[in-house]
Amino acid sequence: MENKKIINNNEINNNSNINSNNATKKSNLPLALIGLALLAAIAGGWWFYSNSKPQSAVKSNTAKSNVNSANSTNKNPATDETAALKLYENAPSGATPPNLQGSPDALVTIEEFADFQCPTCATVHNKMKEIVAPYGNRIKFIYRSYPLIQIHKNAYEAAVAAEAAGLQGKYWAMQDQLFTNQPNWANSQNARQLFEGYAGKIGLDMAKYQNDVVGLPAKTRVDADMRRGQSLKISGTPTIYINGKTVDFAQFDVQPMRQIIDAELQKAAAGGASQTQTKPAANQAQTTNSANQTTTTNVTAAKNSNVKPK
Amino acid sequence: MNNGFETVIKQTDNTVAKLPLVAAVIALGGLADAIYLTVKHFTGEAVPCSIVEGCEQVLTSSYAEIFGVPLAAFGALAYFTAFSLAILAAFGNRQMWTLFGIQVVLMAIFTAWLVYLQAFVIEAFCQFCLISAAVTLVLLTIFLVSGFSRARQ
Repeated sequence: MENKKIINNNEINNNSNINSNNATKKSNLPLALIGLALLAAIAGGWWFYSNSKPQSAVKSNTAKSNVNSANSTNKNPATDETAALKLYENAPSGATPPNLQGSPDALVTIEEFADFQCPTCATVHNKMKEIVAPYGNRIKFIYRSYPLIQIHKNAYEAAVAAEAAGLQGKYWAMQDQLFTNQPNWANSQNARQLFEGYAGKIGLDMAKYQNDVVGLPAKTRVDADMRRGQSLKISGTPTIYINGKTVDFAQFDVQPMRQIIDAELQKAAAGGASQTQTKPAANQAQTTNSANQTTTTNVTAAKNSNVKPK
Repeated sequence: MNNGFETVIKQTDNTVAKLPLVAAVIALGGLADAIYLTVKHFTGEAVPCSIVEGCEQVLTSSYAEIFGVPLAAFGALAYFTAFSLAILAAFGNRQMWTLFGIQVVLMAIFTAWLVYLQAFVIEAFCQFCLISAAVTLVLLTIFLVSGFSRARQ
């Protein structure tokens, strides 16, 4: 009898142990699932982050081989490159003389199409200053306005404001103001007033600026740049050309860009310059008047002193 | 007669009981989306401006951060919390389901504000932000459906 009782007690103990074990297991399962999800989220995020980073390192290593021809496809790279260069050569010349830094006679031309209201263009603007600064007169940097008027309501007016400043020899100073203050005016209803503020800040003759901003010359220059961009079939900003070939934006950074420029400079020095130099760029160099050159050099010097290391 | 009625109630009960689990799975989708956006923010990969896409405008706008922390990171935290609450609710903790409901309602209000910003202030839409908005909307719907089903019973 006593033995039976002991056995029964044991059974009860065992059962209660099993039940409590089950309960513990059950209560632990949701916590385990939550922990698992947390681990998966951290691991997934880390994997994605580290996969993004090495790619950019590869980008800089392979930058030289990644100067792609405009609108190229993978069908036949050589033919596509020729066709793209032809398209580049035959495109309307854009605003003449262009807004140019460096030497108009340089053998390497960097041409950027950008939109003042495009956030990425503002980022690129800072990097571009860093990229071109050490090259001085060995390169020619042309900046062209390509406002995406369909999505950026103040972009066209910003481009005109910059050109109006350019008519007083202060294009680059205004360009700097517009990009630096982009978040303030991008969606503002009073963009024009804000632009006037920047014009005053860089010391423009305000009466002339106000005239130029509504006058034809500044608008004509913006329109000319836009026509050039349209005929190059630019679909987004910034689009950057180096000696007529587009730079794959995924590769854009200070070091990869410098590698490309250095390679082009070497090519030019080795005598390949006559082949790579494109017709419109040469024309632009010839048509750039001396007044503009002086202004550019002066403003560049002023601008370089304002370069903020990133 | 009664048996048939009871079967229907039991089936409804089962479906309602599974809703927190469904919500948890959907919240995981939102979590993945938010993590993607957070990582994009930190890697700083710039996306060129294009006429057809507006992601770069939205993700680089002044609304994309709060005190220097990307909004997407708050989103990830919110989805993770929603997932945790839904899982706890799926395992029988009813109070957690109520908390889930409160959180999802707050998320929906915030999401509505973000969609308004995209439509009327930034005037551009980011597809990943819209996916997040859709996930929140689905979570809210699930919670409301479960609430109505229980109220009927």
